[in-house]
Amino acid sequence: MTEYENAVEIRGLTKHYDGFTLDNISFNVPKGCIVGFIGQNGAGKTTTIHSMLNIIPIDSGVIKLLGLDHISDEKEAKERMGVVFDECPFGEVFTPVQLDRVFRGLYRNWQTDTFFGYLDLFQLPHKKKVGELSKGMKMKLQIAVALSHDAELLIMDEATSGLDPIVRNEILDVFRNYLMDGGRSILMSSHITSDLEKIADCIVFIDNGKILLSGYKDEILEKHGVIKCTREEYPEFSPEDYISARINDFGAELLTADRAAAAAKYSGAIIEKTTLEEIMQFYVNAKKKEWS
Amino acid sequence: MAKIMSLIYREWILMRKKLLLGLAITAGMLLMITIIGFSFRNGAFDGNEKLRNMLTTYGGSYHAYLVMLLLIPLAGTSADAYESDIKSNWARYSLTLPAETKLRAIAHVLFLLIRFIAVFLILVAVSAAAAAAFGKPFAKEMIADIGVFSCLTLIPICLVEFFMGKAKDPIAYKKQQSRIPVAFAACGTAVGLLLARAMKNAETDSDPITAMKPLLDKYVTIRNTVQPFIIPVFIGLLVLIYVIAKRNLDSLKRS
Repeated sequence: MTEYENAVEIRGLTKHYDGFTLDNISFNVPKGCIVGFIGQNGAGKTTTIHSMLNIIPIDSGVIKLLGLDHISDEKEAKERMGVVFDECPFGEVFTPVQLDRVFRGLYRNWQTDTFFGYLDLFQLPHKKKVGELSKGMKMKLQIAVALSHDAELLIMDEATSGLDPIVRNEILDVFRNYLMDGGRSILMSSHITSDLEKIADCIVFIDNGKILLSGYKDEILEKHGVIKCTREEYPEFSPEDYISARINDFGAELLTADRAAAAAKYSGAIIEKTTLEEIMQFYVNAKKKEWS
Repeated sequence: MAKIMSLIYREWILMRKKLLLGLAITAGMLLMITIIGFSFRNGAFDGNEKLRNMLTTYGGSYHAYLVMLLLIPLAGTSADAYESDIKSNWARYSLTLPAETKLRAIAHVLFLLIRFIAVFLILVAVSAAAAAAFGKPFAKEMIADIGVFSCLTLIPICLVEFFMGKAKDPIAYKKQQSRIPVAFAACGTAVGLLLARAMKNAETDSDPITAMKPLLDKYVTIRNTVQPFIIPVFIGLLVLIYVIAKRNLDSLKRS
């Protein structure tokens, strides 16, 4: 079996569409980590994931999954990874018992006991048809399938979108347990950044086909900060010291990528900790510099 | 092999309701034809001799209906499977599985072959039972008839695979789907007109079976001519369906 440091390695991935370009993007998913892949709708998350899975051909770049080439070793890579999409892809007529029979033959390492273990954990009925399950139950079923063939890499494309917070928390717990075996990794694409703040080790932020930010989540949250000031004080801040500024009736908020440096330069300024959601908003508006 | 078996099992679960429904409709239609057949003869059950004659007369029709009713649903189920896969997004998900498009296309065609073999066995069994019931020898020509109709049924299946495979989302599927009834209606009208033309010289007071006699004779001549080519043509059409199915699956990657 191939030894690898990064479960996913993407170098210079480029894909042109009419009106959209995934522009020379590079990032890693380190082995044993959960990487949150964030960005607004249409930013390029799904295109990246589809490229990784060889669902769409890429124009240029190199993609390695579990140390394997995503095209020449596609079959082997797919044996060792699980994928969860935003919609349950199993036909409505199937029951979990029947799905077990289908996937038993499709995956070399399919584990029936593990699958039914997850069904019991998620309190999913074994003989109820997929069409009769709720959205949350369908998502749990999809996750159960993805985790039942000893996958070393789990790729999730907006899998928790549309689920209520209780179900999302249950699912996050399952992922934590899945990662207990240090050799497993997760790439989780989502625009619900609160989930990723809870669980992700690293963050990759994509916007308009470009990676704007990537690194360890704690470092990103530690480094970034929001400077709060009045509208009168706002011009005192040099534009190169902040990513963008949100102006409202009560004053201005400026996102800095170096909280310590900003604190040193603007002594007395109020600099607060920020969230991934805020960081996303400020970066998306970086070109405008000022927004409300 | 395990992967092919799994994919075949999946298609069976997906289609079994429609296939069994097709069988039920066939049985119902045959019953209806029987009742209508007796009604045309004034509903008279006045002795075994007449019943036997009537059944013999309608025997040919039974077989023709049976062949058509059992084979035509096979074309319909292929479209249903596509519909389900597109609606559920299985088409995209299947590209994340460790099964190449070649393998999936093989499984698809093998399941089609299994369905044809099942229908073939049912038809042969019914023919043999009917022959035994009337104390007649089993008509081996029936096997050639099934072969001819099977080849004819594979043609709409090819078209269904070709058009349905072009649809990559539910909207495109609906668009493609709406073309199929139109195509079938056009084909039905064309066949009806050809039959009417072939029967135009029949005596006006002759019954339908007598009227169709020249046409049946013509069919028998054609069948006897094409008989040696039935198996190669059938295999050729299956290969064509494999090529179309693989092309459809490969095109999912490009879309």
